[in-house]
Amino acid sequence: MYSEFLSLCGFEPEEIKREAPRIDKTFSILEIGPDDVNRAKGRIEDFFDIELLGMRKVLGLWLKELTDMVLAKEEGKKVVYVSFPPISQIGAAIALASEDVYCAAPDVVLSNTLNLLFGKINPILETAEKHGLAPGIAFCSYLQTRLGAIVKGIVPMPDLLIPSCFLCDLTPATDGLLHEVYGIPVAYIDNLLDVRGEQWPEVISPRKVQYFGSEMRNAIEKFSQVTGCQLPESKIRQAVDVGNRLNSASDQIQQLRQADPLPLSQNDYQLVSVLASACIKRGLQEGVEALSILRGEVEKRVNDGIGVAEKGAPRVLLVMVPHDGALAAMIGGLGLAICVTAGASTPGGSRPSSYTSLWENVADLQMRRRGANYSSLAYILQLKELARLWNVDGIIFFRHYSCRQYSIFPIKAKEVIEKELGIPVLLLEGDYCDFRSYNAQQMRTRVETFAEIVKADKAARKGNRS
Amino acid sequence: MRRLLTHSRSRLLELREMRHRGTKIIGYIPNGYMPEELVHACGAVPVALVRGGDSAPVAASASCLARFLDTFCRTQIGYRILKEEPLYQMLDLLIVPVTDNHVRAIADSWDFYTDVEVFRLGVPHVKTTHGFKYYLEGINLVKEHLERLTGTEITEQRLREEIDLANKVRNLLKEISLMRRSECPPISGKDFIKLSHNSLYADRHTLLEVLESLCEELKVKEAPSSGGPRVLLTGSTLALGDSKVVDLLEEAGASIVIEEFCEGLRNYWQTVDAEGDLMRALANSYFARRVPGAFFRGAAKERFDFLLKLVKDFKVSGVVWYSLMYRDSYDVEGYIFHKVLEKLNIPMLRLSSDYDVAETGSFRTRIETFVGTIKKG
Repeated sequence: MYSEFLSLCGFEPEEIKREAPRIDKTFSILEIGPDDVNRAKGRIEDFFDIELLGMRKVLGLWLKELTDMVLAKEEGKKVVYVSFPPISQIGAAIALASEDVYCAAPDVVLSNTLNLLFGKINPILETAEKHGLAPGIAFCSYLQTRLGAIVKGIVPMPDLLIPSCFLCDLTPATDGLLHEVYGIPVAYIDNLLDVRGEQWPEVISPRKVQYFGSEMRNAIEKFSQVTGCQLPESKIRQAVDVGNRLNSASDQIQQLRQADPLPLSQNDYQLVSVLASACIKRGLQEGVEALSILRGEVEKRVNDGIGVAEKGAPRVLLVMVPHDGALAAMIGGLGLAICVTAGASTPGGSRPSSYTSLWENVADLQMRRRGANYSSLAYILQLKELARLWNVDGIIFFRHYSCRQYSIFPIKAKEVIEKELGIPVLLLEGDYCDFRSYNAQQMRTRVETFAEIVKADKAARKGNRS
Repeated sequence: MRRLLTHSRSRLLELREMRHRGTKIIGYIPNGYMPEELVHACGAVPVALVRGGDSAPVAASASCLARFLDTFCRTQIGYRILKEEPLYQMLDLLIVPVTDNHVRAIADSWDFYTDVEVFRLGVPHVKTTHGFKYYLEGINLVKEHLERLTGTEITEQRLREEIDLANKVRNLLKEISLMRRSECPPISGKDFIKLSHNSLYADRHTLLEVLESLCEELKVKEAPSSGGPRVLLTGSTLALGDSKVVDLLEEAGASIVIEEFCEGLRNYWQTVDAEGDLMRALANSYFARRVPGAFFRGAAKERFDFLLKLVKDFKVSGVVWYSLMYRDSYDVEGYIFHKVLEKLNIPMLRLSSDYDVAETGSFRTRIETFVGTIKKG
C-alpha cells in the first residue's frame, strides 16, 4: 500500500513485498493513515539526506524495528523493555538472546519513528497524562511516551521491564507504576551518583564497579527466570561484540564529520548514533551493513569536498537533539555546522577496562564512558573535552526542561566554558519529544543572534591569525 | 516546648562560639541516611540543612539551578546565596546522602558555588545484600573522613555512647508520637513537628531533658478532643518553616495525628541496636530497617504497608499527600497510593508546593473542601 514511502526508506522491492502485510498491520494499530504517511514523506525530504542510500537504509531499519515492536506479542515473542539512556550491553545481550524474545526501549523506537517521522505522539502523551504522569509538573515526555504507549496498547504489554535507575529518577518510577498498577514484573538495575566529577574519566572505585556489575547480573538472571531464555556468559560476550561493531561503525561515520565542509547533517547522524547506542535488534542485525554503505557515501563526499554546510562554516556542538528535526535543521539553515553532540565518545571515556570479569568490565566501561555517571562537574569536563577535540566555535545547549540532571549544571557549564575556552554558549530550554507547547521557531531569534556572534568571533579569530 | 524554643534561639550563637573554639560544624541533608552519631562521636556537631517554605531562597537559586528541580533542594543553595541564614554559612563540611538527582543538585550546587567541602554518601535504591554492603562501606568512608577532618578517632566506646544517647531521643520522640493514637491527642501535629525540627540541631543533652520532661507532662495532660478529622500528613519533605499546609489543616479543623516524611523530620521509628559491630548496626537501622523513600526501586509496597499501618493505628480518616514541585518519584507514588486508598475508601488530598505565597488561597480552598468532605462522612 505504501510502496513509494517504503522505497524512500530504503526497502528493496522484495522486502516491500515481504514486509508490506506486517507494515500495514502496524500502521493500522498505530492509526497511521495516508495523510500521516504523506507528512512523513515531507519530513524525510526536509530533514534527511535521501540522496544517500545508506541513510535511507537507516530510516528503513527504524521502520522495521517499529513493526517488530508493535507486532512482537502477536508474533509469539516474549517482550522485554529496557530503558533510555541505555546500558547498551544489556540491550544487545537480550535483543540477540533468542528469536523468541523481542527487546527494545519503546520510548526510543516511538520517538524516532512515530514522533520524528509521523508526528503522531500527542495521543500517547495525553494517555500518559491521564494515567499517572500528569501535565503541569514537568514529567519527561520520553517517559510519558513509554507509559502512554503501553497503557494505550499500541505497543505490547511487556513480560518484563528492565529500567536503569540512576541517571534518571523518573524511569524507575514509571516502571514502578507499571508494576504496581498493571502487575508487570520489573528488574531494576541500580547504580549511584556519588562519584566526584573531578575523577572523570578515571577508574571508578572497585566497590562501585562491583555494585553496578551485581545489579546487571541480577537483571539478566531475572530475565532468564521470566522468559525461560538462558543467557550464558559466552552468548552475552558475543552480543556485546556485535554491539561494539555497530558502535564502531557509527563512530567511524562521526569521525568523518570532522571534515570541512560538514559532509552529513546532525539530523542524519542522530538516527545513526541512536540506532547504535540504543542497541535495537534490527540495528544489531542489519545496522553494520547499512552504516557501511553510508560510510562509503560520506567518505566520497569528503573526498569530493561536498558538504551540507558551506566550507568554513562555524562549527558547533549541540547538546541534546529534540525529536522533531526542526531545531537542528534551523541551526544548519542559519549557517552553523553541527558537527558533534554531547553523546560523542572521548579518548578517556573509551579507554579499555582493566576488569576481566564480564559484568565488572561492562560496569566500568559503561560508567566511565559518560560524565553523567559522576557528579555534574564531569558533564562540564566532558563538554570541554569534546569542544577541544572537535575544535568547535560555539555550543548550543538545548535543555530538555523536564530532565532533572540537565537542570543542575547548564548555568555553570556556560560560565566555565565561555571563560576557559572563550567560545559562546547558548542555553535553550524546550521539550525533547512534546511539541504541543514548544516549537523550534520560538527560538529562532535567539539562535539567529547566536549564529551572528559565532560567525563574528570566528572571523575575528581568523583575522587575528592572519 | 518553651525551653526547647528558647534553646533553639540561642543555639546559633552557641554553635558560632563552638566553631570559634575549633569545633567542626558538619552540615547534612536530613533525609534519614546520615548517622549523626558518627559526627558526635568525633567531637563535631551535626546540623541539618532543613530550612524551607520561603520563596526568597527559591528565587535566589535560579541563578544556579534550573527551575525544574525539587523546591526544597533548590532552596538549600538559595539560603547559602542569600547569606541570611547563619547556619548555612558556618559549615566545615556538607555531607549529602545522594538519593536522587534532586538531592544530587544540592551536592553539586554547593560544589559549584561555595567553598564548603562536599561529601557524597551514596544511598543504594534497593535493599539487596550488595546494597547493604555498599551503604555500610559508605558510612565507613564517612567515618574515616570525619576522623581525618577532626583529628579525632571514633572509638567504639564513644560511638556506643552516642548511639545510646540517640536511641533515648528516638524512644522519647516515639513515645510522644504514639500518644497521638489516643482519641484526644495531648500534643498537636504542629507542636510535634516543631519538636522534630528543633531536635535536628538542638544540643542533644538539652533535647533529652526537654523530651523527658515533656513526655511526663503529656502523660498526665487532659486534652480535649478536637472533634475534627484525624489526618495523616505524608509526602516528600516537610522543612522547618514550611508551615503552610500544617497551619491550613489545623485552621480547617483537622487534627494531624501522624506524619511520615522522608526528608525534613527526624526518623524515630527504629533505634540502633548497640550490640556487636556498631557500624553494621548503624547501617542496619539507617538503611536496611528504614522505611524506604519513594526514590527506592520496587519498594512501594513496603512504604504503603507502613503508611496503612499508621492509618490504622492512629485511626486516620483522611490522608494529605504533600510533596514539593518536580519531585518525580513522590508524584508518581502519590498517584499509586491514591489508588490504593480509593479501594479502602479512605480520602486522600494531593498538594504540590513551590513555596509560593500565591498557593495559599488555592490550598486553603482545597483543604477546607477536603476536611469538610470528611466531616460529612
